[in-house]
Amino acid sequence: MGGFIMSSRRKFIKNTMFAGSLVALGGFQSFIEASTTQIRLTILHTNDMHCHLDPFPDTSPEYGGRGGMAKLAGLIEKFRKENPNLLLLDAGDMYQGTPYFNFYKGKLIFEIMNKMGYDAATIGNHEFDNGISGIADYLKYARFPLVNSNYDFTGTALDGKTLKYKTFNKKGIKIGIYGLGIEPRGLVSPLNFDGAKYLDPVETALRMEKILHHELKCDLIICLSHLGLQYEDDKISDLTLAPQTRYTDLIIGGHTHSFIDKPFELKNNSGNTILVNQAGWGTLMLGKIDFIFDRVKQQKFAVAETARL
Amino acid sequence: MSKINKTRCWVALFFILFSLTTGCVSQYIKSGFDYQNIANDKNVTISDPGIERIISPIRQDIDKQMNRVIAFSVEPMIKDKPESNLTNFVADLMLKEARDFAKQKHIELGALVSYTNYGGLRSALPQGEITVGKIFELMPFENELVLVKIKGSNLLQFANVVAEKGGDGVGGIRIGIKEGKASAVKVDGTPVDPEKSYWVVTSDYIANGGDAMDMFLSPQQMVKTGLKIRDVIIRNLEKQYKQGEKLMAKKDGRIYYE
Repeated sequence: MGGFIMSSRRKFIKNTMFAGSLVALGGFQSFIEASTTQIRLTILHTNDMHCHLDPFPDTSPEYGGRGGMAKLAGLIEKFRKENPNLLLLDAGDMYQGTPYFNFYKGKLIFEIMNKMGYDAATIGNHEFDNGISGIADYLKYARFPLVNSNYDFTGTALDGKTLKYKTFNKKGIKIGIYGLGIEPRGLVSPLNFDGAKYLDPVETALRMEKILHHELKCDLIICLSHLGLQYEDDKISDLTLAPQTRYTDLIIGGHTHSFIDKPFELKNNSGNTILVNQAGWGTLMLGKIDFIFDRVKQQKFAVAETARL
Repeated sequence: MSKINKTRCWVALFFILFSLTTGCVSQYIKSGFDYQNIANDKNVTISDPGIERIISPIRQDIDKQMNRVIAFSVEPMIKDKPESNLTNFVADLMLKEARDFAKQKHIELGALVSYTNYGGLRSALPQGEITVGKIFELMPFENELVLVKIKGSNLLQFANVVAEKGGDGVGGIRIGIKEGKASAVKVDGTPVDPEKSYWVVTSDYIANGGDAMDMFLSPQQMVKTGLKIRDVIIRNLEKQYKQGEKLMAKKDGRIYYE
């Protein structure tokens, strides 16, 4: 795709020069300006919030006084003011961890996430803590979709209630999102996953990004993953998945509660840069990645029309 | 309208159409990125009052319930391997509760073993006053007590997994560990007979194959109690506390290295 960008740019310059010669005709100035527009898309993300609505108590030796959703929402609002062209995403394990969850299950956390303006989230292993119905019964409170591509919920209470992928259009930029869940064995009580099937995450990722790239023509492809950042053994993780993808630009991860200073920059299977990020857990961190896009008018169309002149 | 004006008009019309149509087929080329992982710590001075308004009344209500004192512990209760006061306390409470339940339901248990998985105990209990909140921290999951009747050979398999893990939360059983294997496994003072049947009380999580404890799958019999383990702990502690008893649990060598 690197080569593609180069050739597009070359054509773009040619076209602009040609257009420039016609400036005198009026009405063209705006076209030229529009052609050079850069658009910034901000991606904010969290993971493993575990219903940590409040800051950690001061007595917590590691995180005393840190975290909390009111402050997290304040941060998000600040970034939204800086750039309204923004997506807010979560990589799973919103459930379980404080009495707020024991008393309110999925209701309270989903309602607060609505208020914060979440655009999508994926499903972590703890979302199954009260079974598949523990998700299905509370989805009505969420005004954002749960995106997962590798759990087959056919015939369960979640059948048709989650999305395999989701696309967004932000100022003309098309963003495709797919979601990957961790293998439930050993993490989720089999009864709580009863009737659902776990599909291979790598195979699923390659299938999803192909659809999002080729069929849906997405300009940016994001994987919301709850696979975990990395493992000592050969268990599939975000860092082992990333080089196997072809069209994914960013993996937003969770599960391993990893605090990292900055995203990992790797090369995917097409030789393009893929970022892998994770934002700790318990509302202690917010990940922020900005992508800058150059808007390019499509060359072929313009040439054909001008030739008619 | 002069010819020139007409041409201009056409040109203008074309440009209107041109800009409209090309607007639809714009292409977006990713040309760069930057990033920042931001800690939500004391440096964050902004807070969303709307979120606080939702949480605040709920926090007050939950805090009231969570701050109720239900026990007084003579020492800190911390999980450890091969055994610990905390794992023994929970496992023994499960034994007692299962016996009470079976008596009510007229189920003849005979030999009974309990198992609370080490990973399922999520925090320690402090010395002194213990609140409901501490029990929620200890056991946040909605797990229920379940009784499973399994073959002695499966129980021996279980003892081996406990030995491999270097210990765990058990009651009603004694396990000696030798070179990472269970060398001596006794229930009620007698070696486990692989052919006999034994009742085990554990969580539904474990009984359904959680933590890869496959030996509990397909039991000879299974009885769901409908009792949440957390509720069981809270109820028993509070009862003790009201009778003026203090919480105390000891290590007794139920899991030991040979």
